[in-house]
Amino acid sequence: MRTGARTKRHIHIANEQQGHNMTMDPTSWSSCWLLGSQGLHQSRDGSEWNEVGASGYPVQDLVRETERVLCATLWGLWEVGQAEAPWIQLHDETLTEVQSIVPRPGHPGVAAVSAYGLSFGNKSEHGTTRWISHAEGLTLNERFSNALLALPECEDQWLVGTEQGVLIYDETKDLWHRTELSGHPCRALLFVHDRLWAGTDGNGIWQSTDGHNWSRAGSGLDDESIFALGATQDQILAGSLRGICSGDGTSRWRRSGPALLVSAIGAHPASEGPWLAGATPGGLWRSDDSGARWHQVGDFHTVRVILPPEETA
Amino acid sequence: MTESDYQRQVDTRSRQALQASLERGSYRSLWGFHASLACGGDPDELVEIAQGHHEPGPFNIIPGMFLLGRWPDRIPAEAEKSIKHMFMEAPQQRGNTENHWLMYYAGNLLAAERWADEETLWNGLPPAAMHAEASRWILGMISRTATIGHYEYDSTGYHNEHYVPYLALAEYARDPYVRRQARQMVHLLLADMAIEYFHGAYAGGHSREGNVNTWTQVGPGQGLNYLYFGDEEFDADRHCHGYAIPAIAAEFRPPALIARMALDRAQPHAVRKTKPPRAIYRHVSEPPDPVRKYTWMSRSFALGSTQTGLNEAPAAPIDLTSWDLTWRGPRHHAKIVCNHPYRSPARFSAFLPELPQRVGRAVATGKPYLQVSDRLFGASPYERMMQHEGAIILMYQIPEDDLAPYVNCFLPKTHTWCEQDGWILSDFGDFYVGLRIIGPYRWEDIHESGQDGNWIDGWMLRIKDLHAAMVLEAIEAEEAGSFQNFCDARCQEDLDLSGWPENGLIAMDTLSGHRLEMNYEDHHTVDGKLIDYSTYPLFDGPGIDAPTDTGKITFRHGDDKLTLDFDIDRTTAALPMRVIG
Repeated sequence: MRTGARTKRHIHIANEQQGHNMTMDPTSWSSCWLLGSQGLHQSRDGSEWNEVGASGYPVQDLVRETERVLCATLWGLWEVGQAEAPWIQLHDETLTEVQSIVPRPGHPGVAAVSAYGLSFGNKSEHGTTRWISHAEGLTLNERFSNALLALPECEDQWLVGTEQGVLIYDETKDLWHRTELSGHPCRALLFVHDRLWAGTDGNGIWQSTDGHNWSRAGSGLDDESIFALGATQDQILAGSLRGICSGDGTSRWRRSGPALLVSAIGAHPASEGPWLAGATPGGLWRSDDSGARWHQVGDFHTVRVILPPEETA
Repeated sequence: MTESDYQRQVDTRSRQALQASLERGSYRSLWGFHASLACGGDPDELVEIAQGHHEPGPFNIIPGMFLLGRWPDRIPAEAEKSIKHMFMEAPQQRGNTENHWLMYYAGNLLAAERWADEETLWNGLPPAAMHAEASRWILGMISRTATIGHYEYDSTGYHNEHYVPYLALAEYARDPYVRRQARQMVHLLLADMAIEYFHGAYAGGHSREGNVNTWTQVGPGQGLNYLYFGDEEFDADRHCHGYAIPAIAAEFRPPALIARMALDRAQPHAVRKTKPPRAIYRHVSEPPDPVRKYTWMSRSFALGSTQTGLNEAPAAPIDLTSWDLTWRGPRHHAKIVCNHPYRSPARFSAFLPELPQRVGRAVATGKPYLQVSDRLFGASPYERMMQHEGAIILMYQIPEDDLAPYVNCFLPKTHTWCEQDGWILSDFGDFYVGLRIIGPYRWEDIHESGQDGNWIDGWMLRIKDLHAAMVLEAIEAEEAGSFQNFCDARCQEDLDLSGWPENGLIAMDTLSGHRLEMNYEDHHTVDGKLIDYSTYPLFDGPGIDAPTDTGKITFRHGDDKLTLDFDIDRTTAALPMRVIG
């Protein structure tokens, strides 16, 4: 892999449509909103957006590091260091249709799930990454994976949201474990407020402390389809088939916003910061009053992932 | 026809098609510019064309490399610079089908060889890395094809998009092993097409045909047909498709044996093929079974059918054509086909990764014909069939809550149809056809306009029955005598419907003296003998020896023999499948 791109001190963001360029310090990855749509997009304020790299790739998920962003796309996995450099390919001929990625120590820095299951990469000749998928003994619906999470405080344990529900993969033993949450597709996983949260397609939102045993979270969404999960300092946000839902996971979920298929959601880490919701289709929506009112921002058709800034400044 | 005679014929047809392409002006693309270079056009026109082809999808990735390989001293430097730009700077798209990935990897392999000294390619990796990745995928797919069958099989729409990349590798790759294996694939794909070639048409079932399955001759593969087989009048509209031009301009000439196989219709015969299971990766409990094809190549008609291996809803690839009867004739005038237009939303997300709630509308917005109620193509999980020679039984068991509780049957308008004892019969001159619709039906018409004239135009029988079925028999006139003799005989032969639908059983006697018995979920027998589809070889027909899983294939015709040996290492795991087809 060409590593020079990572050591550059500045990230150059070209916005041909607006006819101007912005030069940003690489640490701005953490202070900006990031959004996956057709391509990777970046914003300082959640309203004005610039495409990074003009790839046009359908970005499904993002992992942000200090000097790079990893983009999971339907055509593979890419490292984005700076806008003027090429996106660096991290997939091989076995990794495609990538649905979700999460940080993993070592090269290439993430684990990935796709339509073909959970995959781990290793550095290979010419600086490339070779991937091995782990789906032995799984049914087709258990292999097709939508969401991924490293199980907290359990080394080498991976929580995988599949078309058949939530599974746990023990990397050390190369073993799969089925969990209580089964029978419906799991499309979103989240660890926040000391709990695991799962959004299912047709069976609402569930919570767990260990990943094996699950209980229904809140009420009023029992048959709802959930495609995305996010959080504020004290609330869970969910993207559903009919708009945005918010709640504490115990009481009744509160619906807000238009009746969109909300496939991405994120809240600014500051307590009074904006919420953003991305739809499939329907574009990007913003609320500055904790979901009471929403309005469209940017020029998007479909939004698949939103990463809020990591810093409150 | 000697080998040199045949090659001269191909040379002549090549010049004819390239000259016609130049005169029509259709050469102005990276695919078609060979016509200009071959026929004395201005090479500098390529500069502007190449500059305009930076959209980095799979269809633009291979043709520039083919041009550079074919005309090493004729490409203007500025045009080469533009082609190179795509491999140095553009964010390329790999796509998601087998033909997409093949064009992508073949183009990038050739680019990695040509510009091997560059530090990195467009993807930030050194050329050697791309070469290694592309080789693994291409050689892996060749091994799969040589052992379990071509995945995106017999596609009237996409055969060229397989043939041209392999031809590019066979002719221009510097890696000798890639070159050798690709050359064998070129022969294999041509032979695959030749053994179901029927007067300019690709007979039998197809993995991908789409909404042109009432057309007799379909797709850019017609250019290959004319070039290599040449048994029809030249028609520039059909034979000069841009995707055929690289092959038409190439120096490669296949052995005449392949053409002789395509053109030899002296003896009616069955062609059997094995193809891999369809790509289904969710919504079903079990993966589909392998595909088994059976095509009866008679002198005046070809009847082909498919055991699709798709036994569980919603697994139902959208472009698949499972069966049809075809003969010589213009578009819409020489096809009979029927279909259950299955349209569950989940059929899309069974093989596409987008959200099930969204993908059906997203795909069908651009291709509305995928969802129309009159559709005549596309797989259904509720369709079963069996065939022996010119007779076929088709059965449907459609659930009550299905969105399309009926079956559509297409008949051409240009022939006179008769009805006798429930049979619908017609005299096509050289052969006769009788079909029996099982279930209440209504005679309707179907007409759809399209960019090339009428997209569909004919009669459509709407069989409104959850347990619709149909039997059909076609027979050469010289075997059946007069048409009235045929009608009387067909009506008198036994058709046992006592087991349908309750026991899922239909039996029939054929005019050629066989007894076919078919159970919807179970056995298919001919004269009491069970058809064991699992024993189908990779290819089977006169002069063909091609068992599955060996990679060793022999085609014989007369004293000629073509042997392919793909060097299969059975100890090596197969390349994981990551594409659709």
